[in-house]
Amino acid sequence: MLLFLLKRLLWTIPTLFGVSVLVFSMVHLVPGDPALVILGEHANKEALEALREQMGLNKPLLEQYLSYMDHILHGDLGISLVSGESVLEAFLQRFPATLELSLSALLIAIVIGLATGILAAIKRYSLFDNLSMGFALAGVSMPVFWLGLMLIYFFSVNLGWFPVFGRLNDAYYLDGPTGFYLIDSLIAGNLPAFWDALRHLVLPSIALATIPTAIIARMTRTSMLEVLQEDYVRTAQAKGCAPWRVVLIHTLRNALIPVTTVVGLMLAGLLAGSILTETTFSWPGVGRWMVNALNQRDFPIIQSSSLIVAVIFVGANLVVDILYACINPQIRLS
Amino acid sequence: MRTLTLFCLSCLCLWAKEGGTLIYARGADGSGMDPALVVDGESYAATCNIYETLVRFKYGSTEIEPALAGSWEISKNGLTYTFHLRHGVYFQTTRYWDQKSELTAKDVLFSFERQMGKVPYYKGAKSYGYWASMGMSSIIKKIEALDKYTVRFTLKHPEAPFLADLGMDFLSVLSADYAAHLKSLNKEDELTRKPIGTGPFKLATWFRDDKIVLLKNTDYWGPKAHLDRVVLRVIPNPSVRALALQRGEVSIISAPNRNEIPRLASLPGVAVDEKPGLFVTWMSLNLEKKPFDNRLVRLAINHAINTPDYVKIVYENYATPAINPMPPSMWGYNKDIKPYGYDLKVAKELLAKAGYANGFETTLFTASKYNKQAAEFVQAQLAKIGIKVKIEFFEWGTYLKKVAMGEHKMAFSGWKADTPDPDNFLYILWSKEAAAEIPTRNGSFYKSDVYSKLVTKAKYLSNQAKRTALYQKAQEVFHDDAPWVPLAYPYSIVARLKSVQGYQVSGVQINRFANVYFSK
Repeated sequence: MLLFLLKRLLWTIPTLFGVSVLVFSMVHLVPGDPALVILGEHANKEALEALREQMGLNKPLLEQYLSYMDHILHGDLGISLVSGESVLEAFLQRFPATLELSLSALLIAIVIGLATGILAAIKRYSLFDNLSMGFALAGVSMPVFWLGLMLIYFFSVNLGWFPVFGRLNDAYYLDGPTGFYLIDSLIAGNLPAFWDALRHLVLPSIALATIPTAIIARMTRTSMLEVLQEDYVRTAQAKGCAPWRVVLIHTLRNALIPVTTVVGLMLAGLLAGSILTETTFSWPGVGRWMVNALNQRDFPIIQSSSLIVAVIFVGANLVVDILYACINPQIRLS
Repeated sequence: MRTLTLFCLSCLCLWAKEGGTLIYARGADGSGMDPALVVDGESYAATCNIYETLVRFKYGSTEIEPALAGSWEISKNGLTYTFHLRHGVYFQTTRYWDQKSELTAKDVLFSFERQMGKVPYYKGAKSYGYWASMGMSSIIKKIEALDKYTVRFTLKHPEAPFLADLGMDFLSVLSADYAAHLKSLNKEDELTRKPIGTGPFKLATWFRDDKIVLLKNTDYWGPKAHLDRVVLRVIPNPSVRALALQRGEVSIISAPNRNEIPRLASLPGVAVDEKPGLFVTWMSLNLEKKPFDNRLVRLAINHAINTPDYVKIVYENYATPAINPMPPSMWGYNKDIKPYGYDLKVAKELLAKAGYANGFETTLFTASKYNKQAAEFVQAQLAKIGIKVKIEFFEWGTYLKKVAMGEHKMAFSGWKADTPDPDNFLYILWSKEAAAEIPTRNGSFYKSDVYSKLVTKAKYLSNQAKRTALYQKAQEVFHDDAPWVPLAYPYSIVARLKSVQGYQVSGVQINRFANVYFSK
């Protein structure tokens, strides 16, 4: 197991190196002069030159890369060219918002996805099965920004159940230790703020959860159906086990192994991919920050945030692999 | 009794204007709060309420009025400007700076000298982009404090737009004491996050990409703001901004989708304000490339494009057709100049006269995220006189670069005023000097000696009547030379709750909130 772990860890080094080269090159392959984009049409030669100098754009590419990596390895992710913020600080400031949203979405996806998948498998070819799998297909295919707008239109504007945008009403101020508004409001003993934060969280979480819910539901159903065919399930049934026991103990435990793998990777995906949801619901998280940086050609943010996302993905992959190896020793051996 | 009732009613009316929280929703957050460092309008939306300048533009207009300087004198030769600061103006106190300090000449000196490079402020090399792009170093020779409340600027040459320049946000006056305090703590960068100004609002909190909360400055030297709080909220999606306004969750939204405006305007509690801003859009014809070096060809193109239709299709009528290279609300605008007029027969004749009876092939550069419809419109219009236009789409950054380097034959351009002075359009966009600079703002590479002489002369005069005459003449010359195709004067559009009063959409610095109030 130790050797497997070590090998797996060592593999992440070339992966991350590759990612760093890719991220660095991609930014430089994007056409246009970042200084001109930042200063806009009002720029003149003097201002452009000063900004290029400040951004280090006049130096050779290799020199820029080496200097960048040197800083990264020393824990310095750079300074935003546009706002002058430390990239790491800015990331950490926005990360709790994205994490809170992603975890809520994942929770919804797991609960609804699993329940739907299990029921659909048990009631195979029933109306529920057909309907739920139809919804799952629609969920996977639906553009998030469109779904988000529809949710806002019906549940916020027409019914008035939820706020249209943001994380918290202006009447509340939370500056808690975690950055998770649900937790910070509870720590502060501010129940109205907790309720308000929860109301803000509902629609974006649903929008973000739609695709993962659909994936989990379909995977659970398939996996359950496979396991339900196994001999040991038939044996259990023949032995006269209660139906719920057959499903929950004998079938689900085994059927969940591939689903667990997907869920692990899904969290990484949610963290990195909440861009559209954050933009639609004006959620001040990492996704929107990255899109803004891209529009403004804010090199240090683009490079470092992409690197952070890559690290999250590689890390999640690693954790999933290790967990999988723990669950299924055959993986280790192969 | 009647007098008493009237008095009570008037008190009630006065009281009704005070208080409340205005929530202003916009598409993006500002990048910083040091007005000298930032170059984006969203940053100035916050700083123009926190900081003040020596002079300012009357709210909603382009007229200059006293601000931190109560009065000033300009020497006869136009080289020295002496400003007398108001007495008893104090910098704001906040939770991060509690020292009450009076505004004096040393603050003005600090604010200017750091941008002149005389007082190094930030640790890292920071670029004062706006200062550089306005060429301030080539205008100001020196700045000195004559006494505690008197500041004198000496210019390198007479520069008529200088007074208007001083009303621009990047020349806001900052507290020298506060800056020195931050420097002593080795936290100079906090100046971009925690501003201290003299304005009618002060910063309470700033959650990046989410909201900026401004509080009324109750110690303000002038008429105090009506609102208790202003919240600048970031809502990137324009449709969501509109829905938030519909629900009453925000008070004003900027830049709504044009196709959503009629729906918004029909909502009972919502009003839409639309007025021409200080904004012109046009098509640059590169005079250094054939056949655009031929005036007859340029005139033919102008006669072949139906600008009222262009405005209808591209701007859904939220604009007016452009005529001159500056908007009609700017002083010095020549009202006597008439549009070229849509006439295909004349266009074809002109083309034939120029030796292109069968038309020609050319290219039009445009940015992929803007102007697709506009480009297709121009393509279809010019096809009618035999000009085959190939549209080339570029990513925004590439587009800017290619046009600034003069790689285009035809390209879309636009300009929003930095300062309410005709010089900001006529000289810096169309003079020979502007064409000589690479990257250039003069996308047509228009190098008329006659025109340049007029706008350069106007720059050095301080008499506005004389300047007006010169600018009007320059517009005639320009119209005659037709180095461009004028397209539109787009409107500035905001949608607001009807209860929001006193907000002006035209002019410069439209996001000043001191005059805004809620009608009850």
